[in-house]
Amino acid sequence: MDASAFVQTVEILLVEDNPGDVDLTREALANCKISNILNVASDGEEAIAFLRRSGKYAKSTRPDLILLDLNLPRMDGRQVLAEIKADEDLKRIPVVILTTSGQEEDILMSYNLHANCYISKPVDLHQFMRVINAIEDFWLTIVKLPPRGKR
Amino acid sequence: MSFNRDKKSKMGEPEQKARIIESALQLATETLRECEEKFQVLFNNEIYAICVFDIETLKLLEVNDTYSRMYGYSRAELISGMTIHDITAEHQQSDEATDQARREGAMFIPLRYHRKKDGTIFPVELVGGPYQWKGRNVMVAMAHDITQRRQTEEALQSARNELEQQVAEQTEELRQMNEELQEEINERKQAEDALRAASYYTRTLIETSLDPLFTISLNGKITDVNAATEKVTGIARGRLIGSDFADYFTDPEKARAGYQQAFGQGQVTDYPLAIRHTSGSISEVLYNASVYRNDQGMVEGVFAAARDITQRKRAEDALRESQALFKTFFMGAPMGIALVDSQSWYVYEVNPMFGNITGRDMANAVMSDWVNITHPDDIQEDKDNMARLIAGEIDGFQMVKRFIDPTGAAIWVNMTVASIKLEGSNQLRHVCMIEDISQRKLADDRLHGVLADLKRSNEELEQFAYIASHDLQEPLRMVASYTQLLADRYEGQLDDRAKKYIGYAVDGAVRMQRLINDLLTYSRVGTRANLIQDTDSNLSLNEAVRNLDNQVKENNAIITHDELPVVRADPIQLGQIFQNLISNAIKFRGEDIPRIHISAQCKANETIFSVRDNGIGIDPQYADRIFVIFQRLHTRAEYPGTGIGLAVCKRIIERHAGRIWFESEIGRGSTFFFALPK
Repeated sequence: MDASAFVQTVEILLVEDNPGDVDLTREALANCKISNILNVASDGEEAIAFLRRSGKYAKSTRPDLILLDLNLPRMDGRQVLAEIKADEDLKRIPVVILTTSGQEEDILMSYNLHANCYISKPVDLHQFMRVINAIEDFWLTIVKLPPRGKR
Repeated sequence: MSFNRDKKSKMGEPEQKARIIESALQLATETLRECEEKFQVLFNNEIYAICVFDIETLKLLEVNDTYSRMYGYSRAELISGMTIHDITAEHQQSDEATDQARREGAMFIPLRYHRKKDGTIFPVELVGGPYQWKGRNVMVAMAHDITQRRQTEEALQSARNELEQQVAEQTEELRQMNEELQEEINERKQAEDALRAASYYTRTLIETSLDPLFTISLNGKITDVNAATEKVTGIARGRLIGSDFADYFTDPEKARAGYQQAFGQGQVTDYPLAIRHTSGSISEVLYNASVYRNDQGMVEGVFAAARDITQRKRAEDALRESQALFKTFFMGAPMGIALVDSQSWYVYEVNPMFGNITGRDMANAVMSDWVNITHPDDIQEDKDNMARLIAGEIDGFQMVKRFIDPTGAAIWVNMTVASIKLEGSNQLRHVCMIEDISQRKLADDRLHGVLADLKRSNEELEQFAYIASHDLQEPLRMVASYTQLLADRYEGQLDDRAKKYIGYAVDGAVRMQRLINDLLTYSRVGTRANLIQDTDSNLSLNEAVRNLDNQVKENNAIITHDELPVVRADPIQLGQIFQNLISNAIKFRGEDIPRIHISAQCKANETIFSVRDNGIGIDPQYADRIFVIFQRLHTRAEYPGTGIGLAVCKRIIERHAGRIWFESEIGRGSTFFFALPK
């Protein structure tokens, strides 16, 4: 490990409308090796505002990773994905689709909109825990994320 | 000589000796003289030239007169030192001769050339032999001048040659004459053959002519006929020839008139007559005749041909009939028909129905006005089609279009246009047929409407199913996850019963999720289908087996299949059927390794597939229930599953208008059959 990869806190944005799922995710991430801060947006518009640091989110930090549910009220998750990946500043942030649906058309559409990966949420709790840990493992320790300074 | 015995007196001895010696001497002299005479006779014969020469030196020692005369030298000259070489024309051979003589004791040379004093070379025959003479080895040779003999011989030879030559010349002359004769014979024969062939050819032409041909003499009698004449009259030529030609026509007077006309004008053409056959049938003919002359230019008779026009007449009648028929059909047809000249658009034939349908009188119309009576939306397509037709790209086309009647109402017609090409004519025409489909259109539209509604309904249903499945999953996850979370959190404080209850709750949620997914799959059989197409069922089967890889490996299942046919089916859904049936076959296995065999039978109207297993079998009394959605024959503890596999299969089969059933024996296994129509 070289000097540039010093341990720092990772910022994660979770876009999820179901509080139950939010808590579950939080639980799972709490067991992470990497220290992380979890920000939550409960609908698409909030998520965009947060990312663009507009309004009340002016002081927010750009997240290193976005966990995005597709089924959101008002602005649907697919729209959010499209907007993120169309935005010059935001498109390089990895977006992990984390959603209930396992249907082919959703998977296809998500990848077409340049989602970085697609995961369907397991029903079983322990499976779910394993998945979150795997996400964290892969995206936060194995993968090299874009340097923060450039965001 | 006799001793004088009487003188036997006692003379003195020396006198006696002297008298004896004298007698002896006399005797010797006599003998010598006799020899000398003999020798002279021989030596001086006038036939052979004799010479004596020394063998060593070849010098002539003695010659006879004949020799001297023969060679032209005097004796004195010859024996003065001349050698044989001097009188021989060839030197070498003299030596050979002498050698021969020495060896064999004799010499005979049949031909040698010697030279006379005056230089003449002449042929001689030589005979001789070696002798001893005066102490020397000499050769006595006799030369016989054979000039004469040779000349005679040559003359004889010459005469013989001449004779031979004459004979050869004569023979050659004879041979040539023979050749020429042969050639003449060949030429004559060729000419005969050519003549025969030409004659045969001419006759054959006459005989094979389809028209009855016959010649009529100056007094009206038939002089020659061909086979066609025999046929049209039904009478053999033997009887025809010599008879009056007019007898065979239905109107003999008219026939004779025609014949007279031929004589008068040299020919007569297309003179209509009728010939009666012996059977009674009549042949309508056109009589054509002309006079012909012999090689002296004298008119010999009339050569006539009677062209049978019975067929043509019949054809003309048939045509008239068919035209009448066409007219009837054309006028009475239930569809509008118009015959149009493609160049000028002139409607040269149109039936009343066309007018009825379009609401206009089309007779004598010019079809170029058709744009005015066609619905604007249809004009372009109509134009394009017509352009292609006239260009020759297509022979015809069919389209549904609207005419506009005089009131402005649209009339739906099914129009078929086809180009008509007349043989031997460049004129392009087309026929335009229209069928009023107003009623049908209405029905169609209604049907379309219904179909559109159905489609929309299906789509709505599917969307509903999709959303429902989504929205139902969320709460499930919550129930399952938090129940488990509770269990984890408070593990220490939970007893076994609590854990069991939690297990049921979680289990319920998981099952619910699976049911929802299965329902979604079931609902999609109709809406997420592909086109029914030619499908290689082997490929679908392979895909299904691949998808079941895990299950197959876990159970060590052995799956075999026959070569499967190509069928009309949705390839994905066919795979689903195989997958569900095979999955069931493995799941409901017995103690033994699952053995599954797939085969197909091609019948006339359908293909019947079978999936046979060696599993636990199915009680036939449940035959109705197993294809119903969510119906199960076992508890969840015994075998997992939602009970949707067979229901999906059934729905897919129904979509293909097929049928599905099974045969089974408890404990022995089951065979599922499904039939797909062809």
